[in-house]
Amino acid sequence: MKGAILFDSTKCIGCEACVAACKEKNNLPAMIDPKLTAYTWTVVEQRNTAFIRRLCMHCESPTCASVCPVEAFRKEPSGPVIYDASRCIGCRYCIMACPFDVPKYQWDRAVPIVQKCDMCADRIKAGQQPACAAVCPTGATIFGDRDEMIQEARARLEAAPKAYVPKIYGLEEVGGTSVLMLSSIPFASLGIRPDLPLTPLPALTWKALSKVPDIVGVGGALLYGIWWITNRRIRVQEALAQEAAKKG
Amino acid sequence: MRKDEEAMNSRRWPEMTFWRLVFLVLAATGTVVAVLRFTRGLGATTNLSDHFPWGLWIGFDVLTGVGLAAGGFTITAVVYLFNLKRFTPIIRPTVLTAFLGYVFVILALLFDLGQPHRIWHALVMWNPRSVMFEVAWCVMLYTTVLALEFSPIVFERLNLERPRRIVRAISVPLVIVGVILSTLHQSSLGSLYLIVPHKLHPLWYSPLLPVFFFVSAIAAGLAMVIVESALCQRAFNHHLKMDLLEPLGRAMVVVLSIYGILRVQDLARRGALLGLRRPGYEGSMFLLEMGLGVLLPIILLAIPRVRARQPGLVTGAFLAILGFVMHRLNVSVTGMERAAGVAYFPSWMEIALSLALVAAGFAMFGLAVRYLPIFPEAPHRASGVEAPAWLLARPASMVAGGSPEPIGQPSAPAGME
Amino acid sequence: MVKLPRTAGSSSEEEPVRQGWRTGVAWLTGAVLALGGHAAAQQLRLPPDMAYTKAEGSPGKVVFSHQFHVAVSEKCTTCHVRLFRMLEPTRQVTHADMEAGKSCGACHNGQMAFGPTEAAGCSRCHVGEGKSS
Repeated sequence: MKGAILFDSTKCIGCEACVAACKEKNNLPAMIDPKLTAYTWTVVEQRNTAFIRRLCMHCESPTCASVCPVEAFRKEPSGPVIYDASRCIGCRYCIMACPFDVPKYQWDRAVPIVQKCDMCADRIKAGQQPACAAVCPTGATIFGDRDEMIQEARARLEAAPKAYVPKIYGLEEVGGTSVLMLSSIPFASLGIRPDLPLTPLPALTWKALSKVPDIVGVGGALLYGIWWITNRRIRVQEALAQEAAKKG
Repeated sequence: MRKDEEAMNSRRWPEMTFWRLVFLVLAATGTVVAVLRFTRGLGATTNLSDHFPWGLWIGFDVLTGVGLAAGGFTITAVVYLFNLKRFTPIIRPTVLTAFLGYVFVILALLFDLGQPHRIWHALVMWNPRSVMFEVAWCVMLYTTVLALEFSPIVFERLNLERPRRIVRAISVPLVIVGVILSTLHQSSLGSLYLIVPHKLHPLWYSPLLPVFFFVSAIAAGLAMVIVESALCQRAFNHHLKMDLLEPLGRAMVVVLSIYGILRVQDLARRGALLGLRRPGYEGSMFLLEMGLGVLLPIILLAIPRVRARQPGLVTGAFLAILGFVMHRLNVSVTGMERAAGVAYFPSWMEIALSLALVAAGFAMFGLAVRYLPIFPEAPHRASGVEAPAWLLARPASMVAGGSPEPIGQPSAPAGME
Repeated sequence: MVKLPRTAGSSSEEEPVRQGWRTGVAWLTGAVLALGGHAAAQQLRLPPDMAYTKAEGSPGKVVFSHQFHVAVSEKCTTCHVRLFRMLEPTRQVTHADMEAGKSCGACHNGQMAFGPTEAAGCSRCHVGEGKSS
């Protein structure tokens, strides 16, 4: 099963049970930061009367996994994008590149690592739900197979079209994510970027990187050719000069 | 007896000059900052944050540092691939600058990385889809190439003829590999930013970022050769080889013009120039970068009378370097601030460490010039210390009249004082 | 309507009766306001009432009701995880803990809510075997 989280903002009452459960599951310090940090992996933000959860979107084609030079991020077949702290060198390209500004750093530590939600990958492996989904008292956060979550989201949009903005956020953004969201107000008003491309971002750098073999091959041949031609010309000139000197 | 000793010692001890004092202050401050950085972490020593994870140490030390060391691949290509042997005298100082430049970049990285003791991870943990992986490998390999290109100078000093000859023999392939590696990583430093089209300001974001970074690096490398020659002239009383540097100035006009046209064309095509009618913060920085750093040097260096004179040439080159630094900082800082939602300015510690590394580079350059045959045709007499006798006595292979040979060995060219 | 447990607002003692009555109204109002319109329309899936482990010398099992306490605060983070675990609750607390301000004692200190040593009697918390987890 490819797991995904469905967050329905219309059901969220801002109780922060998810925040608390996440803190406990991951042994994070109890203090709750208003925005995501290395020590708070999910937050609930209030916009007027609506609530929105912020957490790792667990993209289908994760930008963090693409940019990390040492492959510290990996998209698991079961859904989560997980981070291997033992590989991380601390270049912070993931933090710079993530379209959702999710990965955060332990700036206060002498030996820091990146931290973010991991969709409770170990719990999922054990057949359980992520902690946030397990404790949500209203069912605003639920967990299941991604296709089933999409179906559920579609069903809700169909059943109560006036209650929702007709969009499943995460269905297609940056190639799709494993955290899907529904909302009654435009996502932009919830602080979610409306302008992300629908194609995965890694494609942008791959366009440049895929040219490397060509540059090596063509460049090498070209440079060698230049040397060969110019060198030959000099040698010919020298030979001609020598001959002229002999004669003269 | 002691007074005599003291007198002798004071004669041999270099006097304290202004720049030496500056170096000592920077070195001391830099050391303090280094200790703080590794004991207290990045948060305590930098103004970096989750909103702004890359600052001065990446924007200046790495991005700008790598570009300013680009003279290494351009001049070696000119001499060894295009076979323009008359430029041989500037090979040694340029390769030295490039090598020191890359060492500077790697040192700076060791401070910026969160876990620098793991920098070797890229050797065994691969992600070929990552631009940073490609940059890491290319920089590692190219620094090795530079070390090899520099080694004949050291072998000469140590009178190790055989190793010198071995490196000589592979000089052309080495230069080819060096040019390819440089092309790859100079452009890839630009490619790093391809993945943030929604974050980098449209005045700097472009699918052509790798091309912009590469072309501007060529211009910067040429400019650095000119400026570095001017600095050597002041420091070591060398004569400025105007006959060699002036053509570089002319080449800069061509390269900068290509760069300028590419940039403007790309911006026009994407409709990004419209915002310049009433430029805000980003617009002003852009105009400054392009006007002061691209247009003005082009104009200055295009005028033969300006270019043929040392002040004009050096000013033009210096402006180009300024423009280059501005471009890199605009891409990494200015262009990223709006999306980040924070205004970033480096902490005094970030600035201090960067300056200390630059100062160390200058100091290493000076030491290299003193103890290695970088300018064997013009041994320096800086600060009242004579060049050691062994440096003045040249090995037989370096006697004037020998044919121009591969890396690092200067011929005795005409037109050199 | 929020169901008030036996331990508040009903007792044979006088002081607690008055206090209980006022507190009861406060809880009621709080419950309605705090949970807002959402709660009115939604069924809150709260953990069922839970019994704490009965220690030596305890006059009866302590039963904790979420239903009752959610009226205290809109946010679960008021108590979780600072004072109580969620996923793997310990279900253990001692009077010593409470007096140190830990666990229930963070609020049940005699000021914010009734304290563990009040003359009100032990049965406010130690409801005994009547309710099971």
